[in-house]
Amino acid sequence: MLFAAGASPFHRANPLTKLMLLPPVAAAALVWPPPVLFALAGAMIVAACVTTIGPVVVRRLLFVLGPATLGIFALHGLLIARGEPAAVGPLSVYPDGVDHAARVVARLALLVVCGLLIVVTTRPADLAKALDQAGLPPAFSFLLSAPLLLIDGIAEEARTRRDVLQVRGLGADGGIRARLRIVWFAVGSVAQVLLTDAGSRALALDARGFRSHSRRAVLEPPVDTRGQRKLRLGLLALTGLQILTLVP
Amino acid sequence: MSLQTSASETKLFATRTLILVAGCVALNMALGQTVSILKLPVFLDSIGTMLAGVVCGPLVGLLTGLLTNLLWGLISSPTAAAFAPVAATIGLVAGLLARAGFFRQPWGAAIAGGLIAVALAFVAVPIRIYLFGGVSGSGADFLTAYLLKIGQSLFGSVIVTVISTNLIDKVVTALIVWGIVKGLPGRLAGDFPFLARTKG
Repeated sequence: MLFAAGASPFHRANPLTKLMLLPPVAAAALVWPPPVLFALAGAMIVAACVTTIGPVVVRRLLFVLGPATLGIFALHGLLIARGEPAAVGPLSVYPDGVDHAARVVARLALLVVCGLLIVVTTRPADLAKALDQAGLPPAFSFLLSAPLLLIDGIAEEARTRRDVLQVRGLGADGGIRARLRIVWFAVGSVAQVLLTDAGSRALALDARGFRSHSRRAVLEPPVDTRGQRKLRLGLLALTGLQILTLVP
Repeated sequence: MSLQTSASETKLFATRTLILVAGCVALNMALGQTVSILKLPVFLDSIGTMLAGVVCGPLVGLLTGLLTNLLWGLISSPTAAAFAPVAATIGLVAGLLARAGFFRQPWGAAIAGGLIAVALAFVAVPIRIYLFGGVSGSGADFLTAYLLKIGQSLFGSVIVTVISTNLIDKVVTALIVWGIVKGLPGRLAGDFPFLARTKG
């Protein structure tokens, strides 16, 4: 997981407030030109660096954007004919293509930085609590938290079965067919157990009153202030205003 | 509290369905490491999505795919969330093809895998072109570049790349799902009535 513990304002903000950053940022990506988008992304990176999550955000951003940026500029600046090319050394570069590539990279950078700010400062369990606190049915928080609790167990089970199969002679050095057979037996058995156990697990959950009420109380709810609720409404309004600028 | 079957048990998203969805999402996310160690030319990161669609129907498959990528985006890679509609399409189409009986025989499952690869391409390509300019940051971009160089349009190049890189994976995944479902006990159709469309 990318989550990095800390006590920054981002960490302390309610998960729903952080999620509400996405709509205005997505709208900004549609509306504003690349220099504004780069400036917004830069401001978010500076805000991250002022808190403790800067290194994580920057590292992940470079990892995601690095290869993609090279590919985007190569594709649009060199390979796709857009307008008149300009000679840059031995290469023919399309200036319109470079402009288009800059717009794509700016949009991507802004969305990725915003996403990272949310992901690095939000535990999925806290998001699940915030959804319960907001009055959503318990199924929502269950679907958010249950898979994360199951992942390690399933991965371990699949690894164990794979190793047992290899010990019993189903080697991974026998070519693709042999390796696919290992996957077939290891994965297949894990999946079948998941399916056959679902009914009894459902009975156990229902016996504990899982969906007996349409909403459930949260013992340690994330902090949600009146200011944050107003901020969320403000962010929604900002989204709408930006989208309205697109209307001719 | 009444122990009689509650209304939740007969709904589309009954408790056992939610548990299956959670398990299938976890399956999608957990298998990556198992598969990568075996150095297979496939991802197998949508086994759970297809399985959910075949066992519980297209809407459950759609939910499983959507949730997988949204959770991936939440815990490790924000860009994965952008492709949530693609994963949702895999589950939706798998469910629709299961309803039509494609997963009753292995050859039908293989065809279903191919059709799923084509269907997801039509959803993935606009996302990839708009958000990523047509590139993925992986070796598949060389194929896109080659196709552009020989005169194909950006849309045509990216769609051929996406289908080529997903075809084998989705066919293999569909065959594994067929094998899993074939090995399930028939009584499971009592818990998941949609399964009867495949098991007969």
